[in-house]
Amino acid sequence: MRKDRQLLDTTRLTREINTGTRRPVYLFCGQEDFLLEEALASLGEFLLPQGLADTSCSRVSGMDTTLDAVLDMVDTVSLFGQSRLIVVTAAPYFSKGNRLEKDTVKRLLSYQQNENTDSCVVFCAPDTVHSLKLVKELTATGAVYHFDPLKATALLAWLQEQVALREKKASTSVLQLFLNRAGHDLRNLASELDKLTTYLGAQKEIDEDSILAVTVRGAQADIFALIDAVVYGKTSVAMALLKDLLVMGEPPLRVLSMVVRQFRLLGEAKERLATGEQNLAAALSIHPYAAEKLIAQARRIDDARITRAVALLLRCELDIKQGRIEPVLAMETLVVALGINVTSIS
Amino acid sequence: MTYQALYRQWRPQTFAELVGQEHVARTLQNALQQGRLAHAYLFCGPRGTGKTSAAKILAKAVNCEQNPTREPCNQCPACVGVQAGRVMDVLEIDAASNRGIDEIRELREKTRYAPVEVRCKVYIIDEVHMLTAEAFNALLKTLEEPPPQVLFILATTEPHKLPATIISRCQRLDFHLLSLDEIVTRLRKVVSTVGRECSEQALLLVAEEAAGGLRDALSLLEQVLSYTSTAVTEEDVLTVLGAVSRDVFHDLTDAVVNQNLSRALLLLQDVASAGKEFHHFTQQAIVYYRNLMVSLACEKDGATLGIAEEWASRLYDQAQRLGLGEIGRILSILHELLAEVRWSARPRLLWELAVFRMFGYDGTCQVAPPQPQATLSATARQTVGQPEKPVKLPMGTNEPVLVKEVSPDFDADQNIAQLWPRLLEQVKKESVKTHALLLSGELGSFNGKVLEIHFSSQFHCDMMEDEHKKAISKVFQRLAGVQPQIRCFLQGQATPQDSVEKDPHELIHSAVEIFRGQIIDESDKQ
Repeated sequence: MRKDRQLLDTTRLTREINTGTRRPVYLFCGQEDFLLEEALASLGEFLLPQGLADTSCSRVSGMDTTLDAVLDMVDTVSLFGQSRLIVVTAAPYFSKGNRLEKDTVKRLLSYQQNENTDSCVVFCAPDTVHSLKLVKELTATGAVYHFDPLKATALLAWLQEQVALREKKASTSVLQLFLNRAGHDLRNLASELDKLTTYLGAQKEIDEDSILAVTVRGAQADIFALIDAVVYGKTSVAMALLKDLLVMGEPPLRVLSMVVRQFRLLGEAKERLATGEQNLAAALSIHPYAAEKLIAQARRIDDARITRAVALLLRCELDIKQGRIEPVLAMETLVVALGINVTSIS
Repeated sequence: MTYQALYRQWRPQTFAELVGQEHVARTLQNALQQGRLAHAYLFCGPRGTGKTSAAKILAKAVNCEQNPTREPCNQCPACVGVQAGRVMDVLEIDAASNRGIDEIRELREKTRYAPVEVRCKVYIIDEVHMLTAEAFNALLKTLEEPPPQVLFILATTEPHKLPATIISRCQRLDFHLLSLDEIVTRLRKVVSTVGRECSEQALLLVAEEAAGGLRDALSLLEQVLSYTSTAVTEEDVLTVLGAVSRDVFHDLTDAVVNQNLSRALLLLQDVASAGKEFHHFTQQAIVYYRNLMVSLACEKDGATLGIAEEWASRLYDQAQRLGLGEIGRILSILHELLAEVRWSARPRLLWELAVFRMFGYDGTCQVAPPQPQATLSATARQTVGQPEKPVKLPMGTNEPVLVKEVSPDFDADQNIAQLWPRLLEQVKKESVKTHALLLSGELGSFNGKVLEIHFSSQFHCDMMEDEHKKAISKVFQRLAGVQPQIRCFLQGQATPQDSVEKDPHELIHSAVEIFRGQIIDESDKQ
């Protein structure tokens, strides 16, 4: 299952903590720092005695500490408690172009086999290169944990877990709506979910109305929905979204530039899909979740529409910048015009 | 100073009184009752939607002696103290005037001390987007983990100006614009409480003008109430606003639809004699046509427009009769008018000219032969000078004929043939080279925008470069008042129809034009 593949390491860590397994060395890699921070927090809770979290946990930045220095720290005995946790943030030792002395590597590997140590070191290295020999050896022992940005299915699974943690229930379609509105940033999702929980109070079931009432849409999500509405020819929805954006104080030109970006991505996505590109998210350097939605949009719109949209966007920008038309009205006219193209075709 | 402005008298004191923000009230009330308050809140929303009021109510509720409670009691010393602004532990800071890092540092220092009078220290930071970047950074750490017993409430109208780091540390609650009904209900209550009378139409107008902000609505209501001592009518509101009733625009548009020029000009006369300002009038007209456009595009969605139901359907009817293309055309006329009317000494004349254009007499009348031009100016003079006279003219015969005569499709070709020799002559003065090239060409067609020239040889056709085209276009403008696009074709070759729309490289051409670029290499990679 995809869920397993993406959230595998998070669940593995939880399981290990529950069974009391500890490792001398952990290597946390991947770009999703919310999951990474959560893992760190639960590890800290597990390893450190209550009340001693401040004295026994040290955080150093990998940027200004060498691996040798880190290993020296590991050998130093903790002042009060038995356990000691060393967190190395932004550790560069496992990324491309970083050469380590052979002795240091040996030292790390031997330390990693040491079962009697009281200390524990966590390397947070977002851009780890997995083909390195050292990383391979660490992977073989299971010390490497991946925290990658979640794709749609895994994101949903994660969300379901969070909802259950807060003792609420929600159907998949409702959660999908929640994702559409709140975006895909996990930190933001968690805080929006907290708010939703408070709003619901005693009510167990999360319903659509409460999501619509409470959750805050980000400007990016709004633009996405706006383009969605335009692509599917729902001008009325699009106008309401535009109004929301402008009311919240977004400058019209910024909205315009975001719309332009979205159409550019759409065009590029279409082009790349046609050439059989597999990993759209990487090719366009956008979030995998956004990429999946983009593909759906790209399937709905044909080249002629995109070309026409680009021409309209260009004219709109020129009109605004040359002072021919008042920006808010220009945006409204644009949205109406974009919508019309669609309805007249479909 | 005993009198307080209406919006201050009517500031809500409990969550139940907070109009139109049920989602915020419910979230905060649940949080209060279950003891799940976040340590920092961010209230976002347009002005006059209740952000500061909600912050004050929350400050009272957390400190109320009956806590945990869903509403502040407004009677205990804590509530009364906070209400009067006497409690030292509840601070309302205006970030617009205390925006520097020093003020924030001072605030940080003070958060360490325990509250003195009440249970919880509350910092309400209003207009928080005005803080400087350094001040935001100084606030970050405190905001992330504030000492217990400290509650931060940040309020702003422009959340997008806040750094993401601030937003992610707060629980964000969005305040929505109030619906028309909510505002009207509230206004009705205020009016009846102060013992005055106000017609329903007047209330609706006040609410529409406020565009979702309750404070604006109450301020306007207050102005109107003090303007008249009797019952308030729609007229009174319009006078206070210096605005023209929407009926005027409705009638004007009807006149356009029915091609009734004299009616339109009479309407303008009324506006002028009522002493209305034309600049404002133009703005209102733009808003009206914008509403027509939106109403047609959104299929009569009153909520999107924020106007009363009855008007929404009237607008929709009219918009359907007019059509989207026509609305767009009139809007662009109005836009040009708006730019000119502010600085003009004779705004009424400009408006009358704009009305002519709305009726279909546009730039092409300058190309038209002298006869219709004379008719047009005569009509214009007549209508401006003596508005009654054209009313007597038989409408059905007069207007359509005029329109036909100056419509571009009909006479452009014919005129252009007459114009051609003069064009050649003028071009010769401008550039001999261009003239020589042009001699080998023949006049194609002209559709008001694009002038087509046919050449018998490929060589000449290729020689017509941009500089020549520009020269011709310039001369053409001098003679005919229109600056056309010049297209060259080889004779016998089928000319693409509607070349403006169908040109596959239009975007490239306009890009070259805008950025003054140059095409270095043409290749299709596909």
